[in-house]
Amino acid sequence: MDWILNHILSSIVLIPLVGVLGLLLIPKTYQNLQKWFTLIVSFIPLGFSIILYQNFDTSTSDIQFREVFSWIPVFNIEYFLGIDGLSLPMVLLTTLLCVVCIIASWKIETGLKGYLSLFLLLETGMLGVFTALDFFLFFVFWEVMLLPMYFLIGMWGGPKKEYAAIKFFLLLLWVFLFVGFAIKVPLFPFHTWLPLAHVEAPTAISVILAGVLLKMGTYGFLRISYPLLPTETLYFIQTFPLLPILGVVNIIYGACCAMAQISLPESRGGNDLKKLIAYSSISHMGYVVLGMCALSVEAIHGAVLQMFNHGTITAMLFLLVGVIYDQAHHRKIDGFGGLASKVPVFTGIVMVAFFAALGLPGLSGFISEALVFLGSFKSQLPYFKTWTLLGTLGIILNAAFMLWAFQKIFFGPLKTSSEQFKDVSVREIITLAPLALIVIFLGVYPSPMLDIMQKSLTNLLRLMP
Amino acid sequence: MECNTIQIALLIFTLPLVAFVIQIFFNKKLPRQGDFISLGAIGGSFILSLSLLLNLFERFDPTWRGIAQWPWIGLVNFKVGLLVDNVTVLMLIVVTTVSFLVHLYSVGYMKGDPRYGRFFAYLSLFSFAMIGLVITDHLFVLYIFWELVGVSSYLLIGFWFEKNSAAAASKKAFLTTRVGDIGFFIGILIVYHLIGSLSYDSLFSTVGSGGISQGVLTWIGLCFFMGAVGKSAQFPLHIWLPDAMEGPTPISALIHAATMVAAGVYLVVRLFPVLTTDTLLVIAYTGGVTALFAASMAMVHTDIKKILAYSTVSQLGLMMLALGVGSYTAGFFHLVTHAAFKAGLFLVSGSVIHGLHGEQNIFNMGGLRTKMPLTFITCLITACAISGVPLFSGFVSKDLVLSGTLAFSLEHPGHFLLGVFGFGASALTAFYMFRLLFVTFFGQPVNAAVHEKAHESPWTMAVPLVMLSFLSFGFLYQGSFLGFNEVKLFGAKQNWFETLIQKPVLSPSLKTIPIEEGGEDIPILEQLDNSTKKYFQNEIATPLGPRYLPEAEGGDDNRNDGSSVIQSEAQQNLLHHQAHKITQIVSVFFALFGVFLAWLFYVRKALSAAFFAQKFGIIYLAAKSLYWIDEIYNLLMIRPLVKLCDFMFGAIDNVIIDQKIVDGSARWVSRASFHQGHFDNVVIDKVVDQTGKTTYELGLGLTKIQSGQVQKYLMVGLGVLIILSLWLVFS
Repeated sequence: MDWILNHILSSIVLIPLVGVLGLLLIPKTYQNLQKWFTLIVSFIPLGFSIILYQNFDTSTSDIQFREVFSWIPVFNIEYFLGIDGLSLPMVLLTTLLCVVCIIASWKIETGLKGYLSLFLLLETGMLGVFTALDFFLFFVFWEVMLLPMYFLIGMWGGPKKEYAAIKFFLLLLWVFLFVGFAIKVPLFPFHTWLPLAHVEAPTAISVILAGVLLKMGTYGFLRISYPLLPTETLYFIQTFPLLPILGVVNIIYGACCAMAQISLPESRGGNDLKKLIAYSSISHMGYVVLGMCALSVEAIHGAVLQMFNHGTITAMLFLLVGVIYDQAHHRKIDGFGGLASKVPVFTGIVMVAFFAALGLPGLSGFISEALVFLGSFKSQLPYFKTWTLLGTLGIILNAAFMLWAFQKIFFGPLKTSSEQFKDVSVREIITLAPLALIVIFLGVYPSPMLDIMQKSLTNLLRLMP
Repeated sequence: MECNTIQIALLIFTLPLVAFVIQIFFNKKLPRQGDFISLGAIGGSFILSLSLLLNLFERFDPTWRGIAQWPWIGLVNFKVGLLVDNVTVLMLIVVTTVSFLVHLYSVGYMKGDPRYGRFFAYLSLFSFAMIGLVITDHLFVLYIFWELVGVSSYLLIGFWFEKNSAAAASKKAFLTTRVGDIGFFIGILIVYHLIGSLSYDSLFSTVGSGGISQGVLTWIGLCFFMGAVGKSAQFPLHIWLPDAMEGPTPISALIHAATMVAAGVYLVVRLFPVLTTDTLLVIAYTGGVTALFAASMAMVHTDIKKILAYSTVSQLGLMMLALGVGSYTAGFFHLVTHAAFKAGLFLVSGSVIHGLHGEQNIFNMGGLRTKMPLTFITCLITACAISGVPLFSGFVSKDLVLSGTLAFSLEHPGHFLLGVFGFGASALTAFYMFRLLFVTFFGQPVNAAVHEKAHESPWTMAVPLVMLSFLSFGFLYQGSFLGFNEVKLFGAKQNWFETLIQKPVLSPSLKTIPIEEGGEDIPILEQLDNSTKKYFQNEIATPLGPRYLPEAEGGDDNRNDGSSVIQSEAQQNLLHHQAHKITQIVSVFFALFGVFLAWLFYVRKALSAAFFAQKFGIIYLAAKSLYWIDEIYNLLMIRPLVKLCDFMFGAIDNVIIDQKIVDGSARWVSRASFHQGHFDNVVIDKVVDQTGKTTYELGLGLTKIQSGQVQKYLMVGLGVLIILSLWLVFS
């Protein structure tokens, strides 16, 4: 047990990789075995990260569970893993969503082995990014994560998949070397890869993309830009307030584009439910950026909590779109109608997810949004009252397009095209129920999550000039 | 006895929640779809609320209040707590009574509906949220329940979602109220920014000690009032309430007449101590305009439920008007009496619609008096109450509302319009309500076939009707009893309501009110310290008393702008006394005149409605078309917004950014990055650079050879990793 606790982070990060090797040994035709094997492998990091959570010391801002070895001494590069209050929520989120996604991928048949291997590789990459504390190691994991992502979109995705994949790849690289993490967030006007990538990606990959990968941009800001370049960060917040402005633009612009998905016909790029969800993600990540910039205790906690909450909520949304798509083989908003009378359980779960996304009190999204607003309104930095007030427009816009879409799909008389629809299966409920429970629990009692973050984030703020 | 008030309040709050959870998951599996669970839960809450009311009468202390708090979000030091005082207890009685009766009524009304069980689940959810809204002591928690009642209202308006109109109405209700809620939320942001806490008490104590300037306080008040405007359907956000009538009629009675729409009024009542005179003036005008303007629309409508909906808007306007002119007691009093008679009226309309199998146009009814005698008598009693006929409850409370308004107008002749609004609205009330009654129950049946099939409702629907009409009698509210020993039902100088509910006034240094609260067995983790208790001082009930006691706070012009000139108490009492006398005569006259006029029009037919409609063509058309407000919003706000969104997406996102900039720069990047290594050596670390380049070229290379052979790609990715891990292990 002690050995595991001492090497728990390496175990979490590398077990999926070991899983890939195991998977390669299973013959191609044994598809069920491959799926079960992958599922079991992905449960181990989840279990370990829960142990991590239980053993996490909330009374210190120090890096915990550190593992440091000299790696390439010539360049002073270390293999350095560790977590603090900023990364633990992300690790929990990643391991949870990976399990959920593998269950959600149960129906994939073509190239299953490759898909599962890449998925586990992706998991290693993502977990590595969130736990690495050495620059070089961070970049290695970053690349490890990008590569499988490219193929997962490129090979198991829709018709424009290659275009989407290369675009995703190119833009990310560009960001990483030149701009920073802005694209990853994704900040306006670097956001256009997101809806496209989503539309083309299979459900599980969309979940990972929106649930985990988007967080890496803001995580990168908080992990690297804040402590290493505090003055420069402050310059872009205060003197030349690019970041907060982009945050607010994200909130409003993302919501408007989501709305356009309902009002515009397919011929003009609208009418796609998955794009709507993708744009809502852009809007919700705007809250994270706004909260991150306000440099007040409430706001930064709101931002990191929103990273976690958005992860769970948006995962639910994409899974639900997947349920629809699996049955109807299209995602046209006006192609559905009156589903509520046909599939009550599905409707109920969608309702929880939609209401969580529009920030309904009692569900987790509200708490993080409210903390962001409370904190950014009281921020000492110039103009933040204006940014906050503009940001509150997002509250109404988000509600508007969410309810509008909900009405179109679920209310009204049942359309003949929707008559053969079946309610959610047990497997789908298994993927959705844990997320829904987390959304409700953190909406009622967010303290467990906030307690984890408190020391580290307060310390992070102290580093700012 | 008192130490368990908090436990009782908690139980009142929890019972419907438990019922909701059971009902939403198991309603199909339970006998009778589990209606008895919801009914039992709310019945329990109702009985417990009654016990609180009995305690209240036993104690008979206008200043009594109890608080208990538990930690919630440690980060921002939010505590959830219960605040139980006289206002809370009366609100609880209103909510649980109407809710219980509506539950009972629904057993009959919703019988046979395919989603019968889910209806009760939603009803329980609503009751839970509404009770939470009433008993909390914290603005943030208040906002949470505020939204939750909104959601239950959304679910229940859209209960018959197969109807497109119902689905649209539920969305409209949620979004319109949310516009107001943004104001509420901004108010919360300002308060938190200024005092770092959101409990009522810290707000009151900061304001009481002059910690917030009057100007800022006015803004805070206006923000909160914006929330109230949305929820209580005041002009200009009233548009959702008539549409909300798409919901089942019991819902209209419970949510859209008696409780949720009164939440806005309750909010103003709760925050009354911090509202400045400027804010109050805005509230008074908003309420007054709404009262008159909604009454005018109620006069010309033909749908029985929509008439009642506009009537609700109008009555809520009257409550706001009363609060705005400083008649705190009157405004809250009218909320309480209105809840009973308006819920009664809605249940009457439900009974009529039920009896006529869905007919809602009053001009297709007629002559129902003989067919539905019980419904008719109930309707008569509740209509008398709302019209302000003496001996009925509406007379008692409306009398206070109007006399407060009149006194204010007499005191400030500049604001004489407020008086006009108040009296005008109540004159119209009597007319439109008896129009409804006469057209529905008198005369000859318009449609013989419908009339033939009409029937009286079952007992589950009849009992609530009888109960609510009983609660519409005036003597219940007029008596004075100071404790149980001294009961005087008639001819009392001051009724019990006015004694118990008195206008709170903030003052920094007045008598301490002891809070005898909290037994050992409940976790009151933090008792309030004395400093937060002592700023409450209750003044003797003069609706126009001095509002702001702290004189020391100088340099503020806002307080002295006419409406708050502090006169001597004797003068004010005299003024109020005179206003009261005038009001009693005038309002009785208006009520009877309205009834008489309706009788001339619709029973005697001495006057022709069609003739007058033609004579005042434009006014009639405007009222009939709801003053085109929906159309104006659609034209000026909704459509431009949608156009803007389309433009943003279509023009900016899709075309400019995506096709020109991103794709263009992607090409640029792909060219530049090959050469980048040669001139960026100094700027970028060589290692990083090389990694990026290698990976990039790898990516490009792989696209070219993309042949669908997964194994190949995997090997490339894996190879790198394996080498790295081996290096790690052996180095």
